[in-house]
Amino acid sequence: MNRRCRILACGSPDGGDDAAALDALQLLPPAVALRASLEDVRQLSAEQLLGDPPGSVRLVVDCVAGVGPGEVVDLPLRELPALERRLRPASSHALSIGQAVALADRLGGIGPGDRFIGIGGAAFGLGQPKSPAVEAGLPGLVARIEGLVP
Amino acid sequence: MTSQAPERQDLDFEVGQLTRVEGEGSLHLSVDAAGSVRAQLRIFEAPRYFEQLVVGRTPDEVLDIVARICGICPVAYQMSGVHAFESLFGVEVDPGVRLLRRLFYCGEWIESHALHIFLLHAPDFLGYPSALEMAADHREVVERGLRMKKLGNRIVAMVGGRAIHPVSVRVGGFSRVPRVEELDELREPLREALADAEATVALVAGLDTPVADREPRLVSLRHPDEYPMNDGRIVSSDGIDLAPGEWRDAFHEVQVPWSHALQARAEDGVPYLLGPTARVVLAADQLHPRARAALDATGLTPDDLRRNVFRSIVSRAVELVHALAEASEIVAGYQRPARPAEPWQPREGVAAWATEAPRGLLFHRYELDAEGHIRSAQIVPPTSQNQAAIEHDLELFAPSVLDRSHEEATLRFEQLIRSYDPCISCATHFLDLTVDRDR
Repeated sequence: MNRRCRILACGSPDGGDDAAALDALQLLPPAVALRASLEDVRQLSAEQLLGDPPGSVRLVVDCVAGVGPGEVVDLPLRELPALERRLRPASSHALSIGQAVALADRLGGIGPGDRFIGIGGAAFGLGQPKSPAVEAGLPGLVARIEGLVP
Repeated sequence: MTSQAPERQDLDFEVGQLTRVEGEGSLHLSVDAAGSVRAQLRIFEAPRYFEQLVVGRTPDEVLDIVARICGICPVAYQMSGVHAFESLFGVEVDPGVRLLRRLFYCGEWIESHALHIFLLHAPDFLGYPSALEMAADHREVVERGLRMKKLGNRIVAMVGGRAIHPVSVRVGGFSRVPRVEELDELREPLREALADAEATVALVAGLDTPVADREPRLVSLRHPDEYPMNDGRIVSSDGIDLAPGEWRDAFHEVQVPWSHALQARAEDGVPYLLGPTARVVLAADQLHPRARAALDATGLTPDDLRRNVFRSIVSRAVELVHALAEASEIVAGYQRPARPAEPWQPREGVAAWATEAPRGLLFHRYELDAEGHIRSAQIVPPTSQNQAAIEHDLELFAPSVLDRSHEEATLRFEQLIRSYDPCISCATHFLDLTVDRDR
């Protein structure tokens, strides 16, 4: 069992497509939970990326604007802040996900194995259902996450 | 030879977009030729209709729904709601549950205050555009803040089931209460964080602070035996004294054309200030001795904090000490309640209560039918109530920076707005300011 892998799902269950990462957490095969810690973090904070043992792998999952609805992308977590303007997280928070990652990186908290996995969203309204494109893209998101778990 | 003073000109300051915030807003500030200043905090985020979303729901459903209003202070929304319902239904909770609710609130104050002090407000004073840049030169300070924030979130998760939008609050108590061994894990982190918080009071009291002077009307809860969180009477610095469900007897909401958020006023129309400074002043005698000692060691008095809006960062740090000290004592003396929640029966009537969110008094009022379903709801957040005070303070302060560069004026206006820790501008370090000077 490799519990040095953490899957951190961000977003809001009430925000239409912004719930995609949280839903993906529920759809992961049970075997993944034996290999990784599944965490419903909703709003990523820098401190959540600090303090893990060296060699830990963190997979941060969120719904983003800036790529096609339902399209799945992944990239080194360290590259997220620079791309944030293009891959906009749907939720507005005190510190955006990119700022939180940048701050954690500045404090030495991001490793080469950490990755960001995003799914493009189209509908982020409070109480809205997920868009058909994101519903259709969820299996791909789940597969991408599973494939990145060591 | 004679010299002439330059002719005064009309000035318009537009801060077009408060970005990276829990909400969307802007600032418009105008100065006419006679020197009269008018500030408008324009909140243009679309209404979220939570007061309508809860109509037809049961009290326990309401507690889950209102937690979604804010990711930073969900506990406050649950606490105002649950106390309102319990007041109507005549529920007396177990003393252990009452203490757990204070611990729950302490957790929220710790994470919210640490976020604001270290990541959002300190960069203004230390001359950085954000905590990211500040971390390069003040790594230990940022790490200290993140440690405290993480601990606050851990407390909320331990009591509430999760850190963001907790799920365990129920009318009568909790759906589950933590075991003694679970809370014991907090003892050492709390001890360490308390020392960090005391150092923080000294740090922020020593920051170079803009000069500002005003005499705001202060409003908060006040309790004879404890620092105000869940219980007490609504009091003001000029004599208001109401039960926690009677907010509407002295205050009312008004709509202004430039904001999607309702503002609130006292009956005489005068703005009032909520939040850490109001509490520190109005309940100074109930501060934990370590919090009071930390403040006294700075040489500042509660009145110093009241008069200068920029000193709110000190009030917030003092409350950080209070929350950590009180949390430590609750954890040390914790005995698991025999049962997590008391039974209750719904009844028709009005359920109303106010508690102290990190940013100030949060009032809830619900009308219920005989089955306990919500007929109507009114939720008055602290940021809504503070809007008028923010505008008033901007108008008082603006003349002192009008002769400065756009960049510096921007920083000072933002710094002042952030002094209130408004939910709509939790991270207003990224403003674009345009200035039109009519000639």
